[in-house]
Amino acid sequence: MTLKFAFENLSDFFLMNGHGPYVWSSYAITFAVIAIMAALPIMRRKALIKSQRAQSLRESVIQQQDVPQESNKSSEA
Amino acid sequence: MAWQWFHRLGSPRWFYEKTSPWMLWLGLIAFGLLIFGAIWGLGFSPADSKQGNSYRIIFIHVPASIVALAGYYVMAISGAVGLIWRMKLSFMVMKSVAPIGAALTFASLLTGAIWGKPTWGTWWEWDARITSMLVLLFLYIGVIALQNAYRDRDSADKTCAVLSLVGMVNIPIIYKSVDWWYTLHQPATLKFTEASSIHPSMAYPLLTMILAVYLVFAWLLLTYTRVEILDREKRTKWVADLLKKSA
Repeated sequence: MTLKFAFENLSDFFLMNGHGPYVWSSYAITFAVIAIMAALPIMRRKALIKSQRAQSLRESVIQQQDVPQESNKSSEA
Repeated sequence: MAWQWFHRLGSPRWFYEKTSPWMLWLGLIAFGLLIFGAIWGLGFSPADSKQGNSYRIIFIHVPASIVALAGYYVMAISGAVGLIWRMKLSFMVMKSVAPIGAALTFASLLTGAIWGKPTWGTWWEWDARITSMLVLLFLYIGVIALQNAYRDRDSADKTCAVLSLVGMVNIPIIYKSVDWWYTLHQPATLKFTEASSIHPSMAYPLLTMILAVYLVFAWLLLTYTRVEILDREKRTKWVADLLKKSA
């Protein structure tokens, strides 16, 4: 089975004998949908990393607030 | 030996670490094959004797439809496994299929409508297959909506599993619709038990695209499940360390 380009030139390839808008919009929309689906989990992962960093920052701040109180207690004891 | 594998599968961490080395390769092959198949179908297969060039939509419409249907099986079965064996990883897979399946069903309906206009003269008909595919879209969206409707994750998972299983009745209806009803949508071209009516020069790019879309689905499902694992297990040390390292 030999493969050959099914159109005379590139312009015919885009026009597709009048069916161009149908074919190209189908492919474009489907590929756009796939691209969006591929991007969503990547964005979600980045958001997770960001919230994790914020969370650990909050925890370290709370820890630092505890430390002077603890040392007070130990000096009193 | 087999049971050992099955029990390990219950561990989200094991699943996450086992799939990590595959993601890059699977992604490259899947998307590479998709682009290759699309170019083949668009430019290197002959025009159809009756439909001309509009038939080229087949190379995305049919693969999207097939995988949208297959995806529903994955969702229903992983829901059932989650219910029976109380495997939270299974529920994570179930949750992850829903948006991907919805997107593929949407693509199938949209490309079908666009193809219908020059072929049948209409964007839409309430024909058996088209209507049951629309029902499939509503089922997928229903699972997504149900997941977000519950505050308690366990309840959300269980209800979605039940909805997925109940909706399974729609799948053979979609598949057989063109045989059972005298309806607009054409019958199957690719057959399992007899010779297909499609010419090889069109069949080969079509089979390539079907494989490509299956691989893209697999890559997407793994990616979504892996992020779901990170989200649900973010209180554990291994996830906290992993996220910290990625920062």
